[in-house]
Amino acid sequence: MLRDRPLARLRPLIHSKAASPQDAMATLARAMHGLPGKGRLRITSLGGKHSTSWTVNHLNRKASVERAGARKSTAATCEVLASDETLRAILAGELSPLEAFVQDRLRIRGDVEYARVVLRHLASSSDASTEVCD
Amino acid sequence: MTDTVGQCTRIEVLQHSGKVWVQPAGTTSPELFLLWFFIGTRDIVTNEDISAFDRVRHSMWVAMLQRAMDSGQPVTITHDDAGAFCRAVKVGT
Repeated sequence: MLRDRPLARLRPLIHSKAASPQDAMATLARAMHGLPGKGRLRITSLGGKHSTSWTVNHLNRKASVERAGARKSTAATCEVLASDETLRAILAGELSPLEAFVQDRLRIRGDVEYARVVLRHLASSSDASTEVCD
Repeated sequence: MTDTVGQCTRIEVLQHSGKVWVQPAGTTSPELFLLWFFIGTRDIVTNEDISAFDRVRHSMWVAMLQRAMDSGQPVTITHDDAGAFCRAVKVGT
């Protein structure tokens, strides 16, 4: 079975090859401005023995980001986990997060529908699919 | 490889994919895992030509997960640290 519509990618939030996911988090929060509703998106970079998490708190068309630490126990609406390299490719708009998921390079916890809403808002093309099984 | 242990909250079998949601104890967020996935896109073409053994294994996984969900027994999903594909499924402690 082959699909005609490409899978949605993010519009580029990182422009430099040397940029890390951390560099993109403030840009990501700004890009989520205008998104109605509310939610808490956690992004976790799995790097060897240590993982790093950021939480984008989104409420009423505004969003802010914080490094998850003391408040990490606060439940996220949705959490995305991937290696630093995969996150960088997604945030640079080079790799669809859906593609990463079906390539065994990304994990997702929580409300998948919320992740889909965020992806639709951040997508580089409105024609792209935000479903892996449609 | 990593083991995720929890309650199976949902199983979904579609024509070309199988998915399971597992909620670890003490959390409110189930994690989505792929039991199998054969959908191709312009960018990805996966191989549908899998062995009879794999087909039987997928069927056994679904049966095990269904029983675990019905009985409330915990399940263990073995997967890559950064990946959602199931490598192994265990039921019980």
